[in-house]
Amino acid sequence: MFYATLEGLRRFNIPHKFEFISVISLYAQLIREGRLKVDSSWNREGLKFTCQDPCKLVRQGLGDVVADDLRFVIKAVAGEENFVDSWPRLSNNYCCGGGGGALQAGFVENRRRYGRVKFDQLASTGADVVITPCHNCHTQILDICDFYGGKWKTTHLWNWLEKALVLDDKA
Amino acid sequence: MIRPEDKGLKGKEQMSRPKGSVLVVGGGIAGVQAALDLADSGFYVHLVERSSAIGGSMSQLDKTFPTNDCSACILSPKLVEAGRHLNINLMTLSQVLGVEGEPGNFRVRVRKNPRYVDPEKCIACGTCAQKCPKKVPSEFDLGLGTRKAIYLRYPQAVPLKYAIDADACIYIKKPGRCGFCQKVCPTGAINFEDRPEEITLEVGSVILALGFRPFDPSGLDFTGYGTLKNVVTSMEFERLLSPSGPCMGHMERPSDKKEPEKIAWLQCVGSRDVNRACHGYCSSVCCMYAIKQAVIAREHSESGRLSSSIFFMDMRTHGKGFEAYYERAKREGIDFHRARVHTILPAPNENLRLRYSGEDGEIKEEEFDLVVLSVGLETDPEVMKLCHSLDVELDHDNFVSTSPFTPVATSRPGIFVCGTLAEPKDIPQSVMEASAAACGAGSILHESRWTETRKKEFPPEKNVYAEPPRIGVFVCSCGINIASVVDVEEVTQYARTLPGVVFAQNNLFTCSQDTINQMVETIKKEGLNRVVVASCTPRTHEALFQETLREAGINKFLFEMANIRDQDSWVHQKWPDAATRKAKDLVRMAVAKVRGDEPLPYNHVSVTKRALVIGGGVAGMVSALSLADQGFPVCLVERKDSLGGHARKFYRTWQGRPMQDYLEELVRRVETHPEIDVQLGATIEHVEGSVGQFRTRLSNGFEVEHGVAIVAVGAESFKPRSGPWNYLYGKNPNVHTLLELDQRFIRDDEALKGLSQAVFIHCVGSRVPERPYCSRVCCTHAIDQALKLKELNPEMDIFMLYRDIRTYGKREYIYQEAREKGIVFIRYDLDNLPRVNEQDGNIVVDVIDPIIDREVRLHPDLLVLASAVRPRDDVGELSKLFKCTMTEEGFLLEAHMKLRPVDFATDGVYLAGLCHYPKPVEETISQAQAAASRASLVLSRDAVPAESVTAVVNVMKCTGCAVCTQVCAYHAVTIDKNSGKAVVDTGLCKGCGACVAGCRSDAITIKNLGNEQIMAAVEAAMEE
Repeated sequence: MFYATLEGLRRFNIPHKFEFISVISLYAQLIREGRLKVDSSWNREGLKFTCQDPCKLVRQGLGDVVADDLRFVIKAVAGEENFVDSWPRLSNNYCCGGGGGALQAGFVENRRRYGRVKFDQLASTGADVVITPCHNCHTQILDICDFYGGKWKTTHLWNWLEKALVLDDKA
Repeated sequence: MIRPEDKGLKGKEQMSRPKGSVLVVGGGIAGVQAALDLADSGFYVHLVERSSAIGGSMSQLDKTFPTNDCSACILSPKLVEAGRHLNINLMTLSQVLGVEGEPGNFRVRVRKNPRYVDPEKCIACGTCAQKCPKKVPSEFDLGLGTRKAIYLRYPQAVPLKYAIDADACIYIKKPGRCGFCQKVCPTGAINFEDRPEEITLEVGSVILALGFRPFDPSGLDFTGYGTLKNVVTSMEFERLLSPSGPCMGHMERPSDKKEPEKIAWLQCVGSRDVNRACHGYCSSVCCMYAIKQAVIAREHSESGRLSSSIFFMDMRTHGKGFEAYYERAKREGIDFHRARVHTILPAPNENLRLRYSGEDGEIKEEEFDLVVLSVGLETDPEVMKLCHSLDVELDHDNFVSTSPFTPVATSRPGIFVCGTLAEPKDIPQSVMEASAAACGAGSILHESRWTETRKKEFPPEKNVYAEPPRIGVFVCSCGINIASVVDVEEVTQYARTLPGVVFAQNNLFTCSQDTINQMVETIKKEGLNRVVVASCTPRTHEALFQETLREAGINKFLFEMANIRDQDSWVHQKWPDAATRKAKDLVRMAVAKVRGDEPLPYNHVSVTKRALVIGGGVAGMVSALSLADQGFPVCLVERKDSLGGHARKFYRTWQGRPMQDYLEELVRRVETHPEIDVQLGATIEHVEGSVGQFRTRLSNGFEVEHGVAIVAVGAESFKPRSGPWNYLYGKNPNVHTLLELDQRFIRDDEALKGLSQAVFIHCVGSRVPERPYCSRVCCTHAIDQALKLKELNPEMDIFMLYRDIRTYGKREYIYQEAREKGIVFIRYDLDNLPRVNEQDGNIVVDVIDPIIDREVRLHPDLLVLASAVRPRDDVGELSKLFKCTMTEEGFLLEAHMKLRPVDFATDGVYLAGLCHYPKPVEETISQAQAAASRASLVLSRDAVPAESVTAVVNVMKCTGCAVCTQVCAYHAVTIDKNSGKAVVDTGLCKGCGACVAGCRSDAITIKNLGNEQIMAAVEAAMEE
């Protein structure tokens, strides 16, 4: 929806007044402004985090700005030292292998074969948690982790934001 | 564009002569060559360079292809010559602000930026840089090394003068804070009060030679450049290899200073990429420099275990000697992968893992410890701004626009361009264009030749006959070229012990301007009367050192060189002790020989001011016109009955310009030019004489006296009538060569429109064992023809069967266009040649398409063979007449592949066009203009220097047997009718020694190479 609208307006030069903001950038902005208080001290075990840069959101969508925000939020939530970046990264990151209808359209064997590249890349980071800010990526990465015997947990961002949230005394 | 005020000026100054001086902007090899050509043919040159030293990109290179010459070593003599030239005003740290006026009369505003060091006082001792506390990244080393705020651009810099970088200098930023350099400078050269200065020059013409900058791959994130430490650009790798670079020539990778053992080169980074890099053109030089780096890196590898891989799309080795270089690299074990690497991943130990799709379509992974990005060439934005302000038009890639028929003229009359500023190209091509641009400037200003130049005066020579030998020995370290192997200090000490030697000294670079100046002082101060330089080769440096002797008032023949580099340190790297002993031997021999040397006279030959041009094709006609337009008479000889040559059969240039219109105009101009005498239906029968005074007899009995000759006899198109490359040629009427199809285009053959399928086979007879070179022109020509067929009939199916597409430079765009228009390219190799058969009179072509990995059958109604350009069979005889040499393939061989691309080793004879190597029309024209420029160096003078080392006859011993007259290749020896003894014409004698060997009475010797000197050297060699 997000990408389709964005790209449609862009490609056909449709005049509009919309501003496209990912919720990730909103989190980042609120944390920077101090309106959303987070504390990474919950992560005593030092769970290692990495993330996926979804194609539609980053490379084809809003570019590296949102990918940088994603890393900022993860570091704020899980601790600076607990973030392990992948390579390649940002706009140059690998596709999860589940896009273009591959998840919905059958061809499971093919889809998993494409996903092998993503799996190897994520596994090489040694992370315990992979943040996937896209439902499509989420389902695919969840599946390839299970299929190829990965050890990480595949989640969205908010699951951990909730853990780190500092509730104001007055609230 | 001419401004209104300039038009007013024209009225006033119309009658006055043009200016006799030229502005050359850019001090790289192209600018320096243009400046030298002009200054040596009667013009005063202002050479403006932005940085603190001339030399340009070539000075940053380690070695050059295809000869593997040390770049600094071949460049340095030219730079020194330009730096010392009386008629070149070298302005470093200077920028052109604007040019007003018109051809013959330009006013140029130049800003001279402060150096803060007085060049008159600086002796380049380096004390200032030692004391300077401020370190900044060195731009010459592309940030891989550091320099001080007061610095020399590079060790052999010309001028060899320090400069202060105002942006880094502590004192200039905060006066009173540092100033150490000023305190320690022994000559008081530091001047913090130096200020920019604006001056106005009056010149007749302008040459732009601003070069290129290497593409910056930071934006291409998939390469990891800028993030991954061991990903470097090719220019950075040149510095890593260079002895004057940040790791002193001991190849180290940036992350851990470890010697790499596995290096990958990635081609086309910033070239042939319309997606991310926005540069659709091919940079023309990267394939060759990558192979060169792969080969040289192996030589640098101390472990000897280096493995090199080159990842490429098409291997473009289209120049003279390039294909052989490529084949040699393959044999030596360099790995070539036809693949575009899409991913570079960090691997353990800061290594790099490359992922790419192999030719079989499988994804492959391989780990390397260093990745070199073969970056392309682009125009510096600063240079673009300058071109805009000069009203010089740029093309959409920001190179200066030129036309194929006027390859060095810009859109603004009187302003010329040469080198990579017009299109990416290699050094020989840039040098050729530099001479062509000089020719262009010369043709506007020829009336004013010698009006603004100054003449060199040497001090009177000291008479040394009566003196005992006082020999000075200068031992060169050549950076580390010699000193890393030979113990130069020990050799210097040893030289002091030799008889006759009164002085010996070791220098870092004996050829640097600073050392040369010191040598003059030393010769005077020590009263030396003989000099030995133990350094590199006389081929490049003898003239420089000899001139140094003259400046010190010593006859230049009282000089010897001991080649302790090429013949010692380079070849005995693994045996330093033996190399040091050999260096001593060589020095001892040179000292023994120089002891017996005598001063010789400086001979001159008066110049017959006429040129002989052989060949009436485009190259010959353009050279003839270029000389005739400068007022020099020309005799143009063509063996056929009409002018035009192969161009008669040529339809259009790849830019779409019709050839026949141009040719018609060219022929008309040649035929009606009052200075050109055209001799048709004639060949060369006999040649005598040498530079300045040739006498040539033609087959029609006509005799020409001329001072120079230009050989432009062209080449032939290979016709595969039989043998493996036959492909039904001559058997089926629908099989053509490229030129045969061109003739159908010229005829406007309607039948072409009705064709349904055309197939082109590339490399027919090129890049094969019997003709192992690339014919350079055929890829572009074939693709242009395919596009023409598509114009005639857009529905036609066209297939190109190729090995590598070599559409170098901007030609890449027609390759892109061809693919856009649906022309299909199928690659084949020598193991899987296309098979062409006839079935019921129809052509059937079978070829394996490697992408789908299966055989494809085509049924063309037109089969075009892009056949080789081959040298003419009779070129060998012609070359013998002029004593020129040929390559193995039968093309004529120039004096130096890199820096003398249009000269022959024989003085006064030049070459142009296809007889040199296959080339497109724009390169033929620029080479023809270059040959004319080189020829004008002789024709513009009344006399040229002749050989001093000539044969001399001892009349007491001569019996007049006349054997010497028969063996002399230069007809320099005759028998005097009165005395009956042999006499030598010193104007013709080349000092070759053939007569000495032939003489049965021991009556002829060569001056300074007689028994006395040679035996002294031989005896010295035997001593211990």
